[in-house]
Amino acid sequence: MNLVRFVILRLGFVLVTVLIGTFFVLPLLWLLTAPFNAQATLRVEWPSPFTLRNFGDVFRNTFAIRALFLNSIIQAGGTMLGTAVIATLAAYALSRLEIRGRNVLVYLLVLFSSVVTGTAAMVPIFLLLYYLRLIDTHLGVILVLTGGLLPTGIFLMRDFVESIPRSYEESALVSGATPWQTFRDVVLPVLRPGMMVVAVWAFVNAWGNFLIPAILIRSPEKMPAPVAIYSFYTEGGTPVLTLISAYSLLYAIPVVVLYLFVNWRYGFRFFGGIKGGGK
Amino acid sequence: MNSESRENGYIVLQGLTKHFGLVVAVDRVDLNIAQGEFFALLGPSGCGKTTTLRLIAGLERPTAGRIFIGGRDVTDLVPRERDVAMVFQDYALYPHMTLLENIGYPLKVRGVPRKKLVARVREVAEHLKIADLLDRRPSQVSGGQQQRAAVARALVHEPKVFLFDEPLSNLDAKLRLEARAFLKHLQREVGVTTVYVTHDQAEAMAMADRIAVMFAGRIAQVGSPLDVYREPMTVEVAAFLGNPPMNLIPGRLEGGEFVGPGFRIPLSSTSPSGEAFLGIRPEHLRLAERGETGAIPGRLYAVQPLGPEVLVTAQVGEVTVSVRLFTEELPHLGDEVWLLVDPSRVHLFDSGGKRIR
Amino acid sequence: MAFLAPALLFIGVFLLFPFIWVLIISFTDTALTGPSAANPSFVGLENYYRLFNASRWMRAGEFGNALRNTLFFVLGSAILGQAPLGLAIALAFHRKKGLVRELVFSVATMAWILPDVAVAFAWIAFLDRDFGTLNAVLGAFGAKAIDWYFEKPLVAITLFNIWRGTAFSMLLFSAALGNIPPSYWETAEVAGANAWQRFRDIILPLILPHFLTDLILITLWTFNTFTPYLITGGGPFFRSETVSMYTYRVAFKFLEFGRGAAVAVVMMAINLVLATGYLLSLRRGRAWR
Ligand SMILES: Nc1ncnc2c1ncn2[C@@H]1O[C@H](COP(=O)(O)OP(=O)(O)OP(=O)(O)O)[C@@H](O)[C@H]1O
Ligand SMILES: [Mg+2]
Repeated sequence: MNLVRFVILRLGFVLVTVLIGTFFVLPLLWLLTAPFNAQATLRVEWPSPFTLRNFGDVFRNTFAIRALFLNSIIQAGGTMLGTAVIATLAAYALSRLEIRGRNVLVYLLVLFSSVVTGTAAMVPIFLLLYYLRLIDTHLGVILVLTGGLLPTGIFLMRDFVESIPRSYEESALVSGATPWQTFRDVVLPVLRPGMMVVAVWAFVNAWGNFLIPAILIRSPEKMPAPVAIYSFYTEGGTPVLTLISAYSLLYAIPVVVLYLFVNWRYGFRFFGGIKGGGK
Repeated sequence: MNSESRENGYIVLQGLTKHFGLVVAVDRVDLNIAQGEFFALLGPSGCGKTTTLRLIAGLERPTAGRIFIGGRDVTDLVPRERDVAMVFQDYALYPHMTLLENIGYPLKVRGVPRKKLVARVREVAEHLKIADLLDRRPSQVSGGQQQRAAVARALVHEPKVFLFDEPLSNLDAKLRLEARAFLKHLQREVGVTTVYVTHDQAEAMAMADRIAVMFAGRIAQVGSPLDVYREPMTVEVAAFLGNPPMNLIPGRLEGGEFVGPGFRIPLSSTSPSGEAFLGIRPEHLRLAERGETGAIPGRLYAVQPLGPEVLVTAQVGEVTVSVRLFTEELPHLGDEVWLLVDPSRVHLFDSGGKRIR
Repeated sequence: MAFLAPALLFIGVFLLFPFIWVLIISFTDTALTGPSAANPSFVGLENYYRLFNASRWMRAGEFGNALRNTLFFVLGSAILGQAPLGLAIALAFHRKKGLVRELVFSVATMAWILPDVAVAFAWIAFLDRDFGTLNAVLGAFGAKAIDWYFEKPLVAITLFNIWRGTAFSMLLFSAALGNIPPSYWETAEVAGANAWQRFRDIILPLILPHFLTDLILITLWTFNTFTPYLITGGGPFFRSETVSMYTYRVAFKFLEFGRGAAVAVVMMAINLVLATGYLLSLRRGRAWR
């Protein structure tokens, strides 16, 4: 009786797991098959004839390649650096200064950061950059993305900063270090894993963001991959599926690699409990 | 320590006070710590020991009062300018540095050239018997070795003052005894003025030249370990020292006698009448026969054989009283016991907790 | 400390300043083209009147229509979709290790972190009427083909957003469950509680605050997300247009910044109300804990 129940429960568990797993996998299959298909349609099918020509064609499109390997990397890389460095400094300062209500403050900022990278704030941000003459510049994109990602970056970083015992810094101070030496020699090295996590997180977000470069970048030679991909349409406005799928796959690979790296190195999960996390 | 050097102490705290919001962590503390002295700050959890130590180190700013080290007013100096060294309870060894880098850090920030740094670290490490561990990281050595490394880091730049905040509390009982002897020996050897914070009275008694007992931010008593043990100035100090601590029985003073629940003890000197506490160390009590004069009647509570001695606890009136019997035999005891004390060994405190004699 | 300065600057410029400025712009007829582009003038509440004009409010392409779609989208994909599904996955794999967990967590996380455009194209293919995988799978169970884009555009983007965002809830709940000391379970187990009782009496009360945190964040993110635009473009005939897409269309297609700003102000106000509501209930939830 108990055995029957156990088997049924077990089977049910497996079935539900498989269903859920399938739900997450199915939409991605097309990205894995179409790029290798010389006659790709919207159908998921074994590539036939199998080919790598699609990638060759993509690589011959210098505009799209420049977008992917230069512009996207500049914009995502710049955002990554900016967010990681500034969030680290800020999280450190926040946790070591006794400011009242700082938790609520950070929490509110996190809540509203989704507005900044959303459409609602785009009107004033566009005008702001317009007056600063930063429309159609890499810097403009980097600044806006960094501004939008910072609150959550600080939020993520705080868990790491707060896990450093105060005695580390105090011991350095008593040893004769200046506050800056303390930060450089003691705090920063201990925070490195945290900075890595925030950096990867910021990169992935900036890399995948469509809206902000779509609004802020005008000239083709500065467009990043998510905007440039729309050049793989025929004059009549229909997408060239072979090229779009191949380009999408190339464009998605860095994210997959970073995910695998973080998962292998630190385990992809929220750190220090719950407070962390957020996209 | 002669009394003169105490007057012009090496470390002098004057009216030192620290408030955290409404909490008064340290309250008008005056201390004179002599050069080369091993000085322990002893008190229960939360009494302000760590705060006092951090004030001396410069990690906290006092609300009021001044701090002098070696005749120099350091109250407004940052830690770097005070030339002290501190060993933290968790050792604060940096996980990303090897022991060599950890121990050498105070030299590095003082701009000592690498070669000299390594040589000096080796020298100190040899001394502390951790020289062959210098390439390892803190996580790769044992707790006792970590503790030595933390001490080495404090020694390495030959500071004027050592500050220890419960450096032994993370060690197991056996290692703790070893480290106690080692630290005491080391301090004698290098002769650096040391302030040692602990809540373990045995540790303080065993190691220190002098002890300051703190309660609720205030110094209750300062003196040599034996003085403080023999003549506690307040009920609190009396109840804090000793293992088990001093028995305190409430009662009254009447016509040269102490009147407790069911007994009277004649006192050699005359004292004013009124409510009082009778204090007796457990080792100064012994078992007596029924009805012996001056015997304190009690109900047996528990008998604990400890190896070299037997600890007997009895209920006397409202309080429990401990007796240490220096015997390996288990005494045969009935339900009722009688305890006898040498009247010259008792302590008396008035109702306010102040020592009468 | 000087460490804070850069962050304050950024947050001030890109977070607080837009809030104030957008309010000001919303009372003007600022535009990038046309006569008022050079020097915009103050128009009072006009932009807001147009937004809430009762006679055409609910028509296709108007604000009311977008708001209704957004309500459906947020309710369906965040509150009824991501949060329960994420919790279910976290519970199913609680205290489990192994390949299956690794795989499910990895694909769900991929869905969450892959670039907007890449997943949008994948979903265009997935949802296609004739070739799409979704219809192929449904067809295998005997269902007839649905033209998702024309017949059920709102359902389609809701489904997409569940797929896209569940990983966050899953990871959050999984961390929350991991923080419950095993002794809590074991005590209950020894006391004879069955799985449901353990869930109800131990897990649920302990993760309730996390549930609220999760809801706040995913609601706001879903409210502001723009990615579904890349799949349906808000169409057909604005039937899947959310407020976020509406703002984009007004401000950056028509380049009427004044009107776009008015929508943005309303959006921010809704965000504010949502966040405050959640925060208050979070405080109450903590209070009796
Ligand atoms: N940074 C701080 N902020 C607020 N209150 C503090 C702070 N540091 C200490 N206190 C309070 O000051 C009092 C003394 O603390 P302190 O750490 O000096 O005690 P302690 O004697 O070292 O205790 P323990 O033996 O537990 O370490 C305590 O009531 C403590 O709560
Ligand atoms: Mg302490």
